Amino acid sequence: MRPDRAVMGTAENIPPPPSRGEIAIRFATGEFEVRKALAILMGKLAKHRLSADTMGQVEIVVAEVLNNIAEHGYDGAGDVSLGVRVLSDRLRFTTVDAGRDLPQHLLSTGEMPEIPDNPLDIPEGGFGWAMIRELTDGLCYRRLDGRNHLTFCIPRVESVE
Amino acid sequence: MQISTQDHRGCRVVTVGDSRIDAAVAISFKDCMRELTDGGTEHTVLDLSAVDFIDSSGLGAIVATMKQLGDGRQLALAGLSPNVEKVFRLTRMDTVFAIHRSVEAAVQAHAA
Repeated sequence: MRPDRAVMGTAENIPPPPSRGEIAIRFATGEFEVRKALAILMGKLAKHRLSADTMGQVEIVVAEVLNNIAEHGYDGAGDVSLGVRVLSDRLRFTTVDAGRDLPQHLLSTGEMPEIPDNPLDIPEGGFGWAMIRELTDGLCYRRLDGRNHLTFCIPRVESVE
Repeated sequence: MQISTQDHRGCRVVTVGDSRIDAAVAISFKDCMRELTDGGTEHTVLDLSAVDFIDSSGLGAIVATMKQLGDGRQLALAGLSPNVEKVFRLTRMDTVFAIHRSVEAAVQAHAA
């Protein structure tokens, strides 16, 4: 099948899109670019008749992954490619970017922060990776040729009424 | 960001007009909330019924707002869509905030 591609912006150093993705989106990070890329992704996934629960999980996870690349991988603008393959029981995602290495501890120990008794001690961050870990399977990270390759799956679930 | 307020008997209702509280607007949301709740009522109800998506940055901004209110002033939430509710549940923040189905229910619970 011919990949369904969308290209945003005019970035020159765009990593190659994942070859096996049925949906491929490339964009350059910026203040509202992650939001735009998500809107394109959700629009394309809407054609696959996924449940509202699955769509919700996808939006949460992909937003966190892309924001992490934009905020921590790149200091300023940088190029990202996102590939999605819709399978019968799950969706398989790949992101590629040329930003800073992803710290390994986030993949292995990114637990949900504890909620302390004193409200003033409640953390305001650290929830992004914990949500990614909670909502995905098979999270896998590789650094290849100066690029970050992250793959993960989100199971397709029926919505609970 | 589009945010409006209305006071009901000692309870300030802050209604978010935007459909997303995400990384793109988290800082301006936090600043807006500081201005709108500064020196205000004892209880604040954040009306999220128009919001259909929140990410960890948006969640952090709501937590920061709760902290800014300080001792003795409470922040309650109302009108969470299923996906917004999911983020609060996953992060266990649903145990930190009083969450109400509607603004009316929140005002009833918190107004003087």
